[in-house]
Amino acid sequence: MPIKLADIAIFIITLAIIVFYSVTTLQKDSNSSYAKIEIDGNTFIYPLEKDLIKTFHGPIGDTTIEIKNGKISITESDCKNKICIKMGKIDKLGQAVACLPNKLLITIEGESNDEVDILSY
Amino acid sequence: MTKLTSYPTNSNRIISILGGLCLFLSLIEYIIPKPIPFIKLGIANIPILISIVILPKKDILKLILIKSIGGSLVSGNLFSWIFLYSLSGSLISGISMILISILLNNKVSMIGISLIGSLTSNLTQILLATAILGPGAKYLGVPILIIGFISGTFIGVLTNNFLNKSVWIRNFNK
Repeated sequence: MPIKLADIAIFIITLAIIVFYSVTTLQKDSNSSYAKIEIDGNTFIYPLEKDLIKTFHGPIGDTTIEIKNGKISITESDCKNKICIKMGKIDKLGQAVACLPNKLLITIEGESNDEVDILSY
Repeated sequence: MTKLTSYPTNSNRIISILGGLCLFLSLIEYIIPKPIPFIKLGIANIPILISIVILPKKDILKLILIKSIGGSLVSGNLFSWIFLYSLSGSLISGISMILISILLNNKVSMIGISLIGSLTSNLTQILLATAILGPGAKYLGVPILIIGFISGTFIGVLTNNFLNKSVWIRNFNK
Protein backbone atom coordinates (compact mmCIF):
# COMPACT_ATOMS: atom_id res chain seq x y z
CA MET A 1 0.00 0.00 0.00
CA PRO A 2 1.89 3.08 -1.14
CA ILE A 3 0.90 6.52 0.14
CA LYS A 4 -2.01 7.81 -1.91
CA LEU A 5 -3.48 11.22 -2.63
CA ALA A 6 -6.35 10.56 -0.20
CA ASP A 7 -3.80 10.07 2.60
CA ILE A 8 -2.34 13.51 2.03
CA ALA A 9 -5.86 14.97 1.88
CA ILE A 10 -6.85 13.27 5.16
CA PHE A 11 -3.53 14.39 6.71
CA ILE A 12 -4.22 18.02 5.83
CA ILE A 13 -7.92 17.91 6.81
CA THR A 14 -7.12 16.29 10.17
CA LEU A 15 -4.42 18.87 10.86
CA ALA A 16 -6.86 21.66 9.98
CA ILE A 17 -9.53 20.25 12.33
CA ILE A 18 -6.99 20.04 15.18
CA VAL A 19 -5.71 23.59 14.59
CA PHE A 20 -9.31 24.88 14.43
CA TYR A 21 -10.22 23.06 17.66
CA SER A 22 -7.13 24.34 19.47
CA VAL A 23 -7.59 27.94 18.36
CA THR A 24 -11.29 28.11 19.23
CA THR A 25 -10.78 26.37 22.58
CA LEU A 26 -7.88 28.51 23.70
CA GLN A 27 -9.36 31.79 22.44
CA LYS A 28 -12.54 31.47 24.51
CA ASP A 29 -10.33 31.27 27.57
CA SER A 30 -9.99 35.03 28.07
CA ASN A 31 -12.52 37.22 29.81
CA SER A 32 -15.80 35.45 29.91
CA SER A 33 -16.37 36.85 33.39
CA TYR A 34 -18.14 40.03 34.48
CA ALA A 35 -18.39 42.18 37.57
CA LYS A 36 -21.57 42.13 39.62
CA ILE A 37 -22.09 45.17 41.83
CA GLU A 38 -24.67 45.09 44.60
CA ILE A 39 -25.44 48.31 46.43
CA ASP A 40 -28.23 48.68 48.96
CA GLY A 41 -30.42 46.06 47.30
CA ASN A 42 -29.80 47.04 43.67
CA THR A 43 -27.70 44.92 41.32
CA PHE A 44 -25.58 46.15 38.39
CA ILE A 45 -23.58 44.04 35.97
CA TYR A 46 -20.61 45.32 33.96
CA PRO A 47 -18.31 43.43 31.55
CA LEU A 48 -14.65 43.56 32.54
CA GLU A 49 -13.44 44.18 28.99
CA LYS A 50 -14.62 47.80 28.82
CA ASP A 51 -12.93 50.51 30.87
CA LEU A 52 -15.38 52.37 33.10
CA ILE A 53 -15.53 54.80 36.00
CA LYS A 54 -18.82 55.03 37.84
CA THR A 55 -20.07 56.51 41.10
CA PHE A 56 -22.75 54.84 43.23
CA HIS A 57 -24.84 56.38 45.98
CA GLY A 58 -24.99 54.46 49.22
CA PRO A 59 -26.40 55.07 52.70
CA ILE A 60 -23.37 57.12 53.88
CA GLY A 61 -22.18 58.73 50.65
CA ASP A 62 -20.60 58.09 47.27
CA THR A 63 -18.42 55.19 46.21
CA THR A 64 -16.52 55.30 42.90
CA ILE A 65 -15.51 52.10 41.12
CA GLU A 66 -13.10 51.81 38.24
CA ILE A 67 -12.72 49.07 35.61
CA LYS A 68 -9.36 49.22 33.89
CA ASN A 69 -7.39 46.59 31.92
CA GLY A 70 -9.89 43.89 32.86
CA LYS A 71 -9.61 44.61 36.60
CA ILE A 72 -12.10 46.29 38.90
CA SER A 73 -11.37 48.28 42.04
CA ILE A 74 -12.87 50.90 44.31
CA THR A 75 -10.98 54.17 43.85
CA GLU A 76 -12.87 56.58 46.05
CA SER A 77 -15.27 56.14 48.94
CA ASP A 78 -16.87 58.26 51.61
CA CYS A 79 -16.48 55.62 54.27
CA LYS A 80 -14.23 56.13 57.31
CA ASN A 81 -11.67 53.33 57.24
CA LYS A 82 -11.16 53.01 53.42
CA ILE A 83 -10.70 49.24 53.65
CA CYS A 84 -12.50 48.86 50.33
CA ILE A 85 -9.84 50.92 48.54
CA LYS A 86 -7.04 49.00 50.25
CA MET A 87 -8.49 45.71 49.01
CA GLY A 88 -7.08 46.62 45.61
CA LYS A 89 -7.91 45.36 42.14
CA ILE A 90 -9.66 42.06 41.46
CA ASP A 91 -10.13 40.16 38.20
CA LYS A 92 -10.47 36.46 39.03
CA LEU A 93 -13.64 34.43 39.34
CA GLY A 94 -14.97 34.33 42.90
CA GLN A 95 -12.95 37.29 44.19
CA ALA A 96 -14.82 40.09 45.93
CA VAL A 97 -14.35 43.66 47.13
CA ALA A 98 -16.75 45.14 49.65
CA CYS A 99 -17.43 48.48 51.27
CA LEU A 100 -19.53 47.50 54.25
CA PRO A 101 -20.38 50.97 55.63
CA ASN A 102 -21.74 51.94 52.22
CA LYS A 103 -23.41 48.52 51.66
CA LEU A 104 -21.57 47.94 48.39
CA LEU A 105 -20.33 44.55 47.23
CA ILE A 106 -18.43 43.76 44.03
CA THR A 107 -18.03 40.12 42.98
CA ILE A 108 -16.61 38.57 39.83
CA GLU A 109 -18.90 36.06 38.19
CA GLY A 110 -18.92 34.11 34.97
CA GLU A 111 -18.30 30.69 33.52
CA SER A 112 -16.60 28.44 36.01
CA ASN A 113 -13.88 27.09 33.71
CA ASP A 114 -11.44 29.94 34.18
CA GLU A 115 -8.47 28.28 35.77
CA VAL A 116 -7.40 24.97 37.16
CA ASP A 117 -7.50 24.89 40.95
CA ILE A 118 -6.16 21.44 41.63
CA LEU A 119 -4.80 18.70 39.42
CA SER A 120 -4.48 15.22 40.82
CA TYR A 121 -3.70 11.95 39.14
CA MET B 1 2.19 -18.31 11.26
CA THR B 2 2.41 -19.82 7.79
CA LYS B 3 0.06 -22.59 8.90
CA LEU B 4 -2.70 -20.02 8.99
CA THR B 5 -2.75 -19.60 5.27
CA SER B 6 -4.87 -22.72 5.01
CA TYR B 7 -7.64 -20.88 6.89
CA PRO B 8 -7.99 -17.65 4.98
CA THR B 9 -11.78 -17.73 5.14
CA ASN B 10 -12.08 -18.77 8.78
CA SER B 11 -12.32 -15.31 10.27
CA ASN B 12 -12.95 -16.49 13.86
CA ARG B 13 -9.42 -17.84 13.95
CA ILE B 14 -8.00 -14.58 12.66
CA ILE B 15 -10.09 -12.60 15.14
CA SER B 16 -8.67 -14.60 18.02
CA ILE B 17 -5.10 -14.22 16.80
CA LEU B 18 -5.44 -10.49 16.21
CA GLY B 19 -7.30 -10.17 19.54
CA GLY B 20 -4.46 -11.90 21.33
CA LEU B 21 -2.04 -9.55 19.60
CA CYS B 22 -4.15 -6.61 20.83
CA LEU B 23 -3.87 -7.81 24.44
CA PHE B 24 -0.14 -8.40 24.08
CA LEU B 25 0.40 -4.93 22.65
CA SER B 26 -1.84 -3.42 25.38
CA LEU B 27 0.49 -5.00 27.91
CA ILE B 28 3.56 -3.59 26.14
CA GLU B 29 1.83 -0.22 26.07
CA TYR B 30 1.07 -0.50 29.80
CA ILE B 31 4.76 -1.14 30.53
CA ILE B 32 5.97 1.91 28.59
CA PRO B 33 6.20 4.81 31.08
CA LYS B 34 3.83 7.66 30.34
CA PRO B 35 4.95 11.12 31.40
CA ILE B 36 1.45 12.55 30.88
CA PRO B 37 -1.64 10.54 31.82
CA PHE B 38 -4.27 9.75 29.15
CA ILE B 39 -1.64 10.04 26.45
CA LYS B 40 -0.42 6.83 24.94
CA LEU B 41 1.15 5.60 21.75
CA GLY B 42 -1.74 3.42 20.62
CA ILE B 43 0.28 0.43 19.40
CA ALA B 44 -2.60 -1.79 20.55
CA ASN B 45 -4.55 -0.41 17.59
CA ILE B 46 -2.20 -1.92 15.00
CA PRO B 47 -4.12 -5.27 14.88
CA ILE B 48 -7.36 -3.36 14.33
CA LEU B 49 -5.81 -1.53 11.37
CA ILE B 50 -4.60 -4.86 10.00
CA SER B 51 -8.07 -6.34 10.45
CA ILE B 52 -9.57 -3.66 8.22
CA VAL B 53 -7.62 -5.16 5.33
CA ILE B 54 -8.11 -8.87 6.01
CA LEU B 55 -11.40 -9.29 7.94
CA PRO B 56 -15.06 -8.89 6.92
CA LYS B 57 -16.52 -5.62 8.23
CA LYS B 58 -18.71 -7.06 11.01
CA ASP B 59 -15.82 -9.08 12.42
CA ILE B 60 -13.79 -5.89 12.82
CA LEU B 61 -16.33 -4.73 15.43
CA LYS B 62 -15.95 -8.03 17.30
CA LEU B 63 -12.20 -7.47 17.38
CA ILE B 64 -12.71 -3.93 18.68
CA LEU B 65 -14.87 -5.26 21.54
CA ILE B 66 -12.20 -7.83 22.40
CA LYS B 67 -9.52 -5.12 22.32
CA SER B 68 -11.51 -2.72 24.51
CA ILE B 69 -12.59 -5.22 27.15
CA GLY B 70 -9.33 -7.18 27.13
CA GLY B 71 -7.17 -4.09 27.04
CA SER B 72 -8.99 -2.61 30.03
CA LEU B 73 -8.56 -5.90 31.87
CA VAL B 74 -4.81 -5.73 31.23
CA SER B 75 -4.45 -2.13 32.37
CA GLY B 76 -6.92 -2.55 35.28
CA ASN B 77 -9.46 -0.01 34.08
CA LEU B 78 -12.34 -2.38 33.35
CA PHE B 79 -14.68 -1.10 36.06
CA SER B 80 -13.85 2.60 35.89
CA TRP B 81 -14.91 5.57 33.82
CA ILE B 82 -11.82 5.13 31.68
CA PHE B 83 -13.33 1.94 30.27
CA LEU B 84 -16.38 3.87 29.09
CA TYR B 85 -14.11 6.38 27.33
CA SER B 86 -12.02 3.65 25.78
CA LEU B 87 -15.02 1.60 24.60
CA SER B 88 -16.92 4.48 23.02
CA GLY B 89 -13.77 5.93 21.47
CA SER B 90 -12.80 2.57 20.00
CA LEU B 91 -16.29 1.83 18.64
CA ILE B 92 -16.79 5.25 17.04
CA SER B 93 -13.30 5.28 15.55
CA GLY B 94 -13.74 1.69 14.35
CA ILE B 95 -16.99 2.54 12.60
CA SER B 96 -15.50 5.65 10.96
CA MET B 97 -12.39 3.74 9.86
CA ILE B 98 -14.60 1.07 8.26
CA LEU B 99 -16.69 3.77 6.56
CA ILE B 100 -13.57 5.53 5.23
CA SER B 101 -12.14 2.27 3.93
CA ILE B 102 -15.43 1.46 2.14
CA LEU B 103 -15.79 5.01 0.83
CA LEU B 104 -12.22 5.38 -0.43
CA ASN B 105 -11.66 1.75 -1.29
CA ASN B 106 -8.12 1.30 -2.67
CA LYS B 107 -7.62 5.06 -2.77
CA VAL B 108 -6.37 5.33 0.81
CA SER B 109 -3.50 3.68 2.67
CA MET B 110 -3.24 2.79 6.35
CA ILE B 111 -1.89 6.26 7.18
CA GLY B 112 -5.16 7.96 6.26
CA ILE B 113 -7.27 5.33 8.01
CA SER B 114 -5.10 5.53 11.13
CA LEU B 115 -5.35 9.33 11.22
CA ILE B 116 -9.15 9.19 10.92
CA GLY B 117 -9.27 6.59 13.69
CA SER B 118 -7.07 8.62 16.00
CA LEU B 119 -9.03 11.83 15.40
CA THR B 120 -12.50 10.32 15.88
CA SER B 121 -11.44 8.31 18.92
CA ASN B 122 -9.94 11.36 20.60
CA LEU B 123 -12.85 13.65 19.70
CA THR B 124 -15.35 11.11 21.09
CA GLN B 125 -13.44 10.84 24.33
CA ILE B 126 -13.12 14.62 24.68
CA LEU B 127 -16.85 15.01 24.04
CA LEU B 128 -17.64 12.35 26.64
CA ALA B 129 -15.21 13.88 29.14
CA THR B 130 -16.81 17.29 28.64
CA ALA B 131 -20.23 15.75 29.32
CA ILE B 132 -19.06 13.85 32.43
CA LEU B 133 -16.40 16.12 33.95
CA GLY B 134 -17.62 19.55 32.82
CA PRO B 135 -16.50 22.13 30.26
CA GLY B 136 -12.94 22.33 31.61
CA ALA B 137 -12.13 18.99 29.99
CA LYS B 138 -11.99 20.54 26.56
CA TYR B 139 -8.67 22.24 27.34
CA LEU B 140 -7.18 18.81 27.90
CA GLY B 141 -8.28 17.99 24.37
CA VAL B 142 -5.67 20.24 22.74
CA PRO B 143 -2.54 18.28 23.74
CA ILE B 144 -4.40 14.97 23.34
CA LEU B 145 -5.41 15.80 19.76
CA ILE B 146 -1.91 17.01 18.81
CA ILE B 147 -0.17 13.96 20.25
CA GLY B 148 -2.88 11.71 18.77
CA PHE B 149 -2.13 13.21 15.37
CA ILE B 150 1.58 12.42 15.68
CA SER B 151 1.06 8.91 17.04
CA GLY B 152 -1.71 8.25 14.50
CA THR B 153 0.69 9.04 11.66
CA PHE B 154 3.38 6.90 13.28
CA ILE B 155 1.06 3.90 13.75
CA GLY B 156 -0.20 4.31 10.17
CA VAL B 157 3.33 4.24 8.73
CA LEU B 158 4.19 1.25 10.91
CA THR B 159 1.11 -0.71 9.78
CA ASN B 160 1.71 0.26 6.16
CA ASN B 161 5.22 -1.16 6.32
CA PHE B 162 3.97 -4.29 8.06
CA LEU B 163 1.32 -4.90 5.41
CA ASN B 164 3.88 -4.36 2.64
CA LYS B 165 6.46 -6.76 4.03
CA SER B 166 4.50 -9.47 5.86
CA VAL B 167 4.43 -12.83 4.08
CA TRP B 168 1.47 -13.80 6.27
CA ILE B 169 -0.59 -10.92 4.89
CA ARG B 170 0.55 -11.52 1.32
CA ASN B 171 -0.97 -14.99 1.46
CA PHE B 172 -4.37 -13.49 2.34
CA ASN B 173 -4.53 -11.32 -0.76
CA LYS B 174 -7.17 -12.69 -2.98
